[in-house]
Amino acid sequence: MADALSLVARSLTEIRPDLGEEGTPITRESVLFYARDPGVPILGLDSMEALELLAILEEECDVQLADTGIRIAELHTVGDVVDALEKAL
Amino acid sequence: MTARGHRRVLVTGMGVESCAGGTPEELWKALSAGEPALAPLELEEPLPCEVGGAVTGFEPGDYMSRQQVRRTSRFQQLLFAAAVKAVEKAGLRTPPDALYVGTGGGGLDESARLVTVLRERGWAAMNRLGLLRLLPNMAAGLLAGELSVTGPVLTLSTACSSSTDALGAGLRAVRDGTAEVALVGGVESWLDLPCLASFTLLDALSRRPAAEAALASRPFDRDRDGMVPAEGAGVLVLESEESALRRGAEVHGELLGAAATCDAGHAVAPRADGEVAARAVVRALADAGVEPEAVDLLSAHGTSTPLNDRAETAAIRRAFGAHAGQLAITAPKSVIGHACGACGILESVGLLMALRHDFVPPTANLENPDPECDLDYTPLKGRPASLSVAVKQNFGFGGQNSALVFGAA
Repeated sequence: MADALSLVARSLTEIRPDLGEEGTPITRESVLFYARDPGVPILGLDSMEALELLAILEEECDVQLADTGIRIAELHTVGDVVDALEKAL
Repeated sequence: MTARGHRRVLVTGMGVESCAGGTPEELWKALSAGEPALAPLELEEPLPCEVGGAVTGFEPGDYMSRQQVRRTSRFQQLLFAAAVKAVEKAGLRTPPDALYVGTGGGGLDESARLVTVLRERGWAAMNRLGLLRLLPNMAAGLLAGELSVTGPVLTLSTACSSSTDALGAGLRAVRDGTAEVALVGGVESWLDLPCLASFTLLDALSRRPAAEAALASRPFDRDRDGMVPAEGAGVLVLESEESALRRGAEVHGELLGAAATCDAGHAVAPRADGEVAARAVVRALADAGVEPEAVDLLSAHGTSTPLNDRAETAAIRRAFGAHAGQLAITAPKSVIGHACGACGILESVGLLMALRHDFVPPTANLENPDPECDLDYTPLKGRPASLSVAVKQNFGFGGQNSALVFGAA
């Protein structure tokens, strides 16, 4: 679990170097896109960045997330991505 | 205002990425010296075509963010770089009002890459952003986002006339007030195996060996044997006279007129009599309000293919009548090869530089003129001349014929 999370976090900072530079905490609860609740930490990805995140994870782990039926619209948090990745591994 | 009552359309910025260099000055140096910038192609497997004009040493990261580099394919990167340089050269501080881009194939090379992955590893392994890297309009879309162009952003695809037609569209947009400033670009990235193989199968490319790279493109020469493929991009900033004066912009020349026609016949071969191609030039001159006799220099399409060069000679004779014999003509593809959708704009940059320097650039490798190509194609050596008005003409598959008229600054 920790490995997949750190891999996702590292991939996120690769796509969005500003997250790393600003020391934005990336946890399972971090919301990928936006959140209605202002108290929830958000990463503010756009849909292209979400696609890139999947592409990087696929390359790093030699898996094909597209085969798992994963849909961008169903990914809300970093935890969702971690779970999808673990299922594919 | 022009004599015809049109708003004047000035060229206030130029940017290029070409096999002859990444600045208009480098491009001009090669063109004016008649020194071919063509070299052996580096292909994954051998093809009968061995020579091309690749843009070497190009680092997209010099112009784009890491994210943009990752998301884009070569045709988008080449255009982006040329646009960044053109905008900088023009000193633009506000977004252009319109953007017109010509490209023959867009990301055809990316398309081939996706199909290879699909066949070898399945659909799920394809690049997730692949579609956005191949759609022809995505080079313009990327630029529009970068430069905040919210007016018309149009991509024209008329094969080798694409960027010539894009310049025509830009001219009209500035003339009619749609735009005070229009960015016009052309781009082609087609030095990949499937593209080159396809053109080879049409028997359109030179088969000169790699060792004869500098001799391969020889428009109007009797020993020509096909075009030499090249990649590249060019961008011109077109601006109304009022806007240019207000900004104190440097003016590189004036775009006076444009027109296009279609042979409406054969898919790849031009009409041998040049009748419809000549009509494009005649209409462009009329659009510019310029008499044929006032034209000092013509930049030929000059593909170096047996059929095209003969038909083009016939077209020039028809368009210019008796003046054809006095007209200085140059064939830039002898130096920079054939950049398809980008050729019109790269060659227009060459023409503007010729007007600026009052110098007729030569046609390289024109050692033994084809008897049926009997005009003054400025063989081998350029010459100084007083140049005020010049015509750029380009033709494309599908019977496309396009012409532009430029005036000196």
